[in-house]
Amino acid sequence: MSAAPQVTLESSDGEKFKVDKEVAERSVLIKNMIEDVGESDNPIPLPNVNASVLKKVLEYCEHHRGDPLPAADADPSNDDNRKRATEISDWDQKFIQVDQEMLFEIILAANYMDIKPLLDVGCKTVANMIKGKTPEEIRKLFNIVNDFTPEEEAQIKKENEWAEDR
Amino acid sequence: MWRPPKPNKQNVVRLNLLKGVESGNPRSSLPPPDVDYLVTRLDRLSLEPSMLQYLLGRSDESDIATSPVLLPELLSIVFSFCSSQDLSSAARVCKTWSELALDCIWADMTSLVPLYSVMPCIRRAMDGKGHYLADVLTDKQYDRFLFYAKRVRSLVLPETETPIPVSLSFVLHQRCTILRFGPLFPRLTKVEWAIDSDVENNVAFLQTLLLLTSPSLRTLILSLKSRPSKICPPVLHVFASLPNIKLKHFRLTLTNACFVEHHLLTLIDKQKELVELRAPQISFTPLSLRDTLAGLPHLRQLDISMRIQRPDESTELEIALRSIADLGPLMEILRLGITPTAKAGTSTSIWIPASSLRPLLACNALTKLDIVCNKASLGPWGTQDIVDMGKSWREMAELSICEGIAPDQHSGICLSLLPTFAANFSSTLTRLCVPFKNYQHDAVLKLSDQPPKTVLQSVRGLGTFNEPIADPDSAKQVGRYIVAFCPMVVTVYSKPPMDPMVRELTGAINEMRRDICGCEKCKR
Repeated sequence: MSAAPQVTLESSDGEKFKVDKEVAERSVLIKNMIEDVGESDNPIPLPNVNASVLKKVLEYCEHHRGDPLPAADADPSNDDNRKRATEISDWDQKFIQVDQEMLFEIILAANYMDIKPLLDVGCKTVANMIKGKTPEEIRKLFNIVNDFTPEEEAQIKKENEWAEDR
Repeated sequence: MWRPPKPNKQNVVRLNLLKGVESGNPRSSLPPPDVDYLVTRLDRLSLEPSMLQYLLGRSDESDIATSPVLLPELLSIVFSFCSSQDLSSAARVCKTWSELALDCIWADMTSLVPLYSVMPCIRRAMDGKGHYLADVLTDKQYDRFLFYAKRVRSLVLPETETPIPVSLSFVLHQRCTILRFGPLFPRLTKVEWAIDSDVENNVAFLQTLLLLTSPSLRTLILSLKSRPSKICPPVLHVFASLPNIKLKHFRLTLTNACFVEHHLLTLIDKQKELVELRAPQISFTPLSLRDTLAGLPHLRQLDISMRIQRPDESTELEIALRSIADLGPLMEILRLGITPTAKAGTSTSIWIPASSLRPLLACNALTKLDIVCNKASLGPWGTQDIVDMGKSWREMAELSICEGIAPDQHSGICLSLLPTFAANFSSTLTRLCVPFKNYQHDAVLKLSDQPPKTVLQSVRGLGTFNEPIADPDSAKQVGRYIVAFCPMVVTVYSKPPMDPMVRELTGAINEMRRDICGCEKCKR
């Protein structure tokens, strides 16, 4: 077949992944690295991502290799692009069906590697996990300690009641 | 007390992430994680304990396998996908979540009621309409107000906004200035307010708001409805308070309000940063427009009106248009209303030579141009005018000249010039609205370079024709021009019952389109 240019990525635990340059460049971090350093045979180190997470991330990049890249100059403060839509495509939904720890690792990796669509998929998934839950249920879900006094919590509830039926 | 965690695997991952964030440059290759080193740096960063807990996991219970907790910046992204209801729950989970969730809940406000309702001294009136100040505003209550006000980024208040409690502005103003607690709305960047009723009180509050807002405000959109006598003085006060604020966008819509250009000039005198200025009801003289524009070097979008004394002599109009043209490559969107000052005894039909628009040719970044003539028409148009326009305005997407004005013998564009438009503009133009001769209504052509199957082009307004085109042959000819201009016209709108000539025209268009397009949909 073709001799598509390839790059090698190295995970934090030393595992090497050889992928098409096009796939790796879904990550803005890697894209910039390649632009800065130029093409080379040396593996690109990703000291923040371990092999199991990197494998998963690359699976995503491989599936979305042909997607149009999000505009680089999009105003990050403009939430209109993100909207509040929590829909996730079928493939992505299946892809992101992982345990909680892996989900968070993927989000961290997507943030570090600057893969905005994947970051959004991960964050939408967390948003969906919160959906319809009480504060206590959320705390249980994420193992969070409540540092509010009951009075403080009641006050926040009262002052934000208007938002509930917005 | 925070203790350094044992460097187990999970902590290493989180510390790595912190390093990436902290260095601000994830491109640089990172040294292998060194927990002790990072921990010492963390100490120096003097982060809040809750932040440390976030970054390091719950160190005090490190033997329990907790899932990694998201960084605040990532949690903010999560919250951007949450509904208000879910955010309201998230705000009660723990203090860190609360801060971030409340930031989302209170960022875009469409009413002030929730904001002043956090102060129990404000009570709802017995009749349920509005609120009033019933008690002394205590420090604690004021703190609560600030706790939420600091999160507001945009304030968009509709006409239906509940009247603001009388004297609220006074109390807040007193607090803020005497006690020097800093700005009320430190993050507020946009205020949009349709003031309809209770003008004086609302404007007083707006004034307080503007006075007490930190210089973060960039966009001010005001819509005022009132009688002249009531509106002007307070509005002027508001404007006088603006110099502390560097606006980028300013829009003012007036209904039944008396407001003359020097009021606006008072405002924009200090607003050198303005990028957008829209005040379509405010009428400038060419000279005052020139002076105004000279002080606005960053302007890209302008919407104002102009009154001219002798429209048939182009000098006056030229002064104004040249001052716009001096902004040249910056100007992107321009809407200009031109009204001749009516003199008693003059004839009603006034026309402005089309050549007086020539100075605008220098604005070669224009994407939208809308020239609106009141009691006047523009013309005559020649082939060269259109060719030159096409040459200069390479980015033009929407061109509208004298929309809705029936052309007379001087103005209007000959239909035979349509192909000239097509040849010179079609690559960028999506909407063309010019008065065509022989129409009582102007034709609006919507163009698009979409593939045939998704075309949205339409021909609108071809409702009534004048004599010269009232035979099927003429209609067919018009159809042919339209097709020449825009080969994939799919819709012709017309109010039922359909004028027979429109049917003729539609038929001609469809026939031509079938010939040109040849896709399945068209053949049917």
